[in-house]
Amino acid sequence: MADERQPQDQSYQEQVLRYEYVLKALSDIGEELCRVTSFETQLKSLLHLLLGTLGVSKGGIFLYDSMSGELSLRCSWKLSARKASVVLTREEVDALEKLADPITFSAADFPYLKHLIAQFAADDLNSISILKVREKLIGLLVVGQKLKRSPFSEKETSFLTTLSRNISVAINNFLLLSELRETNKRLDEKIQEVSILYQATQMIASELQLKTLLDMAMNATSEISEVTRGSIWLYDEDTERFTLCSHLGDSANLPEHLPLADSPLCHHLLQHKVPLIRTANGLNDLHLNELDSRIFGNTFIIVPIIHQGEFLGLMHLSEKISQGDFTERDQRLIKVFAVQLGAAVKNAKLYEQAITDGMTHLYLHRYFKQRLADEFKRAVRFKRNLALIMIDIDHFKKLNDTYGHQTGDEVLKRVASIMRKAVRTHDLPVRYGGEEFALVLPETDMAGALAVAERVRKSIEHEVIEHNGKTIRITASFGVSVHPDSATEAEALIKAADEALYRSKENGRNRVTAAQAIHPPLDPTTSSS
Amino acid sequence: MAEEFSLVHQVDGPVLIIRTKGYLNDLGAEQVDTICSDSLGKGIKKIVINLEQSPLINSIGISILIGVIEAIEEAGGALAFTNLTPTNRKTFEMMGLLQFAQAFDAEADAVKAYKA
Repeated sequence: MADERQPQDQSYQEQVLRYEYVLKALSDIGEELCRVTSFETQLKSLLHLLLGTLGVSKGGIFLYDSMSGELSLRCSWKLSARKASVVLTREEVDALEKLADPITFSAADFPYLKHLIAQFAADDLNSISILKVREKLIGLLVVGQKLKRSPFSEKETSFLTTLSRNISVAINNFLLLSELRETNKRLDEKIQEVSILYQATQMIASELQLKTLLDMAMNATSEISEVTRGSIWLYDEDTERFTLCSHLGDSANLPEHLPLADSPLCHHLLQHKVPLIRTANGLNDLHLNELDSRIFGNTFIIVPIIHQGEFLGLMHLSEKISQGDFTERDQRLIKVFAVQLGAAVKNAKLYEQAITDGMTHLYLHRYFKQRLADEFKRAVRFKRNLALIMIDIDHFKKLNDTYGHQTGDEVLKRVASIMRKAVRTHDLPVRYGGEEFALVLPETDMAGALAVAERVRKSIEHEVIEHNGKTIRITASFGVSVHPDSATEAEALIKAADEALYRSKENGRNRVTAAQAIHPPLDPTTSSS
Repeated sequence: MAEEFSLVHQVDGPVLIIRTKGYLNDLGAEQVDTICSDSLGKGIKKIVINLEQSPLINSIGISILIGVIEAIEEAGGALAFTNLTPTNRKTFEMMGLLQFAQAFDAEADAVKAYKA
């Protein structure tokens, strides 16, 4: 009796061992789901798990892409063909998705996709399982023979079906997870883009000083797209030329102005008002002349600066730090930023028009008063010098009467131009009224201010104006006051400079006079031609 | 945490010896298949795989070893596993691996047998 039971017990033990082995494989599939690896690696692990559980030497997993309708071999082990694919018809997909049990077929009896399966004739496939989750086709699983071609037992076929179902779920989860990761990645990129743009536009939105605004915009775009070269040019419709307003990197090859007629590229941009991109692989059919190539380089992105249809200028970026081409992301961000820049430039231009004199392009008296008060507060707070130079053109009324208002206006423009050239970025050249001008020089002491005044005086003295074949020469008188030497209040600073100017006039004109010091005593300095 | 799979191999006369280390559950185990294929290509058809330091083998490992067995069978070679744990031995028997490969207690025994 005991002898009869022994082989039966052994058989049970073997079956238990086999079930245990299959259960372990199922648990490994679950574990595989939790591993952070690539989808391809996970797919390969699943295939090996299945082949090892069944004791089969070869096999492969086909995946179905519902977007393209293609069923393709995505992972294989020891199969003769590494690549195989077929586009399924809607009828084939329906048939596979709606198929009730069994989902596992002997390869010879598989009624579908015979052309595809025939490509693996050399592999002597044993079985094919349809991978699907809730009537959603995932793909196909093909497996080869066991060692020595021993046939699958009924239990093994059942294992194959069970494992196929588990693998279908695992693959479906992998796909969903991959999709989720991809969506998250795209979302993160978008958030980053919005954040970059928000910071950049915040920076420029409130800036009304055109020069400062354009420098900020240049820096912001260099950070957005990581470039080492770039420039911003504003367009003047009247003169039909672009003026360089800000640049990044070496400016040796950049002219101050670029006439529209000299640049086919700018002409194209003005005409079409769409971004121009040139990659290392070449360009659209744009013609670049020598000047354009020198200014813009060989690879670049140029975007028009537009506000409500009005072409204001262009922003050019080139030479990526990475040495690569501009990416889709770069192009997207720069285009959006340029739209914001268009509005900011328009605002700054309007503001500039409101605070500057149309003829001389110097700041108006109203703006001067406001800025002087601000600069004065800053100078007092930080205990710094603040200089004011008042300028009056000598005998201007006589000049006007003799040569006419047109010549008078020309003189005013020439003096304004000299003043603009003489000042630093943060100095303020002002048309004070009539033929009177002023220069506000922050952080400048009396010696420094006198030097500036003397330089401007000499430039005016040397200026030559032609009128009907005659040469006209002009001169101007200067009064210089400085905080804290000459005054402790803004109004007093103006008064002190005015009084010094009066003394210049009294003492023969065409000279610079320093205001009296209020404390400590300082000898008034006078210089003259 | 399972130890990462690695292996060393050497040729001793007509025999290729592979000593694995770590859990044979990883795709890294495909190296065994690559080294065996290379060896068969060079005409060394007797292979001894010492699994002393790979006490845990799952279905992934089995699938790779089945591939090795089939390749050696086709080439007319011989394969031996040595230092199998009792559990691994049972698994190998159950999956039919030991119908095509011999099991030895020690690597030296297998090498000696194949050199004879």
